[in-house]
Amino acid sequence: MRALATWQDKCIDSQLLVASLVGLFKQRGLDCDKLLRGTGIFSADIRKPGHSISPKQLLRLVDNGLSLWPSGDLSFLLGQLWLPSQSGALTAGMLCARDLNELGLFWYQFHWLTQPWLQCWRWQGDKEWHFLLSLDLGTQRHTEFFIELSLSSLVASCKQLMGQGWRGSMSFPYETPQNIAQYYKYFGTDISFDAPLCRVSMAKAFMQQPLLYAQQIASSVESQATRHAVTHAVISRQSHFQSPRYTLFASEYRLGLAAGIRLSLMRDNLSLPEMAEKLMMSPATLKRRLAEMDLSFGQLADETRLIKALYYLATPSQDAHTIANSLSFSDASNFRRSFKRWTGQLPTYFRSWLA
Amino acid sequence: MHYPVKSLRLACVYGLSLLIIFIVPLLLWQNTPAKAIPQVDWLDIAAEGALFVLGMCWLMVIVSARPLGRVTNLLVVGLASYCLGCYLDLLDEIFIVKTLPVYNWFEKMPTPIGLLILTCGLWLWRDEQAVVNRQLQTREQFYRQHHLTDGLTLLNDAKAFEHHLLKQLAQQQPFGLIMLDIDYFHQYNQLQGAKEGDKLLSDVAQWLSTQLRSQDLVCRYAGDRFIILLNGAIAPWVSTMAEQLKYGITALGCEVSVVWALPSPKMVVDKLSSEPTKRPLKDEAQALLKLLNEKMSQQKLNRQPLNPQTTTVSAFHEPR
Repeated sequence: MRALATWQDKCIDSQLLVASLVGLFKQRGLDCDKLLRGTGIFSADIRKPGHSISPKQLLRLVDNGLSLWPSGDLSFLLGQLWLPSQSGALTAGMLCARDLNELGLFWYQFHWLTQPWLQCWRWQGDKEWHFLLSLDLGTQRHTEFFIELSLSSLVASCKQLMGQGWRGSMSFPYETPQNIAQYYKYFGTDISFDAPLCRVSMAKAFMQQPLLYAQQIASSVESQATRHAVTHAVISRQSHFQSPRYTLFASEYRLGLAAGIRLSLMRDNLSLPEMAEKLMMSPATLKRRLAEMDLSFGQLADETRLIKALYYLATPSQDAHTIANSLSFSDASNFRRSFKRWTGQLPTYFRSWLA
Repeated sequence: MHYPVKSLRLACVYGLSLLIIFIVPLLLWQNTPAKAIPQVDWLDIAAEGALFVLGMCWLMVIVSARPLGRVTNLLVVGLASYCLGCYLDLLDEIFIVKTLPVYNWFEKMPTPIGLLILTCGLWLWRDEQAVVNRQLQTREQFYRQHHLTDGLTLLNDAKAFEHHLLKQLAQQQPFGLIMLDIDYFHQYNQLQGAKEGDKLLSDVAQWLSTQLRSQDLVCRYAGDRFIILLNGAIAPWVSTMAEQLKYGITALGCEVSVVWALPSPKMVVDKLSSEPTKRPLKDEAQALLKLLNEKMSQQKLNRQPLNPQTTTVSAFHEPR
């Protein structure tokens, strides 16, 4: 297992968010020195290829940015800059995707290179695909900012790649925010708050609509086989070392600590000492590493169990007893009580949440 | 051009005050005996010193915040004279000045004269503000919270609009709401650059605020979405206005989607028990805004998708 990125590890490409943020501040004539103050990032380094920053630096930068930006739309503006600011390795793959499904899979495979603070779970409902988003690398300190950022980049990319507005529904894991106007404007009105997790749902039919650029390629080349050849040609025209697969292979990390622990916990229920042993550190070190990011092992364990519980609830054949068993609760009432503590609601309330 | 004049003026003001601060005690030092330490009333010195320092602070605020003009001159002269009075008062706590009759007279005058001039200045400021308020009427309708002003378009933002909407609902008078959203703004930003996009936004804001009657209000809702409150409106008029704006805005080189709503005034709200009705009013305002946004999302989704072959966006053309 590859090392998991922690609070001080330089694992975030500064071309991503940092460059866009500085660009935006310059465009509006705001003070970039104040923005970078205390972050340990120098403006000369930002454009250097391969320069990375740590989650600690990123969070400090976001702190500064949010306090200096005069209105509540910073994350939404940055989200719109996401697709245009992507560098060579990823753009080809994203632009050549046939539909949102393919794009989603591609993004899922390589999202560490572009949005390392996200962890995504996919669930297939009857008519919709559901995506549950968790935050990694300690970015849950600014949950609203990072979720707004990620989802507005999704919406803006759809707009650009499909030539039409995004359709779907969203739930947010916090109460109605101050800048609700921005939510209506960018995410539409099919949104809800106070959800247990961040959920994005899109109709399957919507996700199968062809994207603009793929259409263009298809219309110019006609047959499906040649389309693939072109796609590969586009990707391999760049040097081999720029392909996303190689970049990901070469990167030191592939997951943050929180995401890595969640992933292991999804597979089997481990205790803190067992997890520490698996990660080859002492339990005390693991605790300390998590505490740096304002996290605790219990929190992550609860989160994964909640996700699992929601999966089970969406499966019609499961009742409270079997779910309690699979989540290793002693009995159904114990499970209900925990579930109520996580979400404020009883399990039956979420039967259709991932339908 | 404007800036050096202002800083020169600042330098003059500070220079003059520094001169007085040093020259007067020097003269007094030459001509009169100082009080012995036990004779000095330290509490008086602290109180009068504080008055002097605060006066200087107000002076700085006025000089830095006000544009040039007669009103500003009056305010500055008045405040400066008041500060001088405070300072001279402070000095007579340290020196025995009874021996100098001229000084005694000189000390009493600046404070009352200064306050008189200041009062004149404030009165003229009131007149001036009335004019400025009329200029800003379609932008703020006599409710000013400067931190709720959007920095880019200089219109009020969504939160300020909510306040206006609440006020309007509480008054139970008919009103209309219009929401505008620029079409293909995303592409415009990409093709023309974000700087041009920002410029288009502030142009639209400027244009909208000149199109309205003085009792109407326009705010920037979010991104490229604007919202307008029409006071005392009837249905045919609101729809005509919406059409007019939709047509007129093409002169700026962009197209907009427009939706409007004409909420029926509720008669049930009891004015006497204002506390419990506060909540429903807020909910009503939220529901209205949500309804408008829903209509807008619907209209945007029903719009023809962009033709992939013409990614150069035919919706935008050179401003006429």
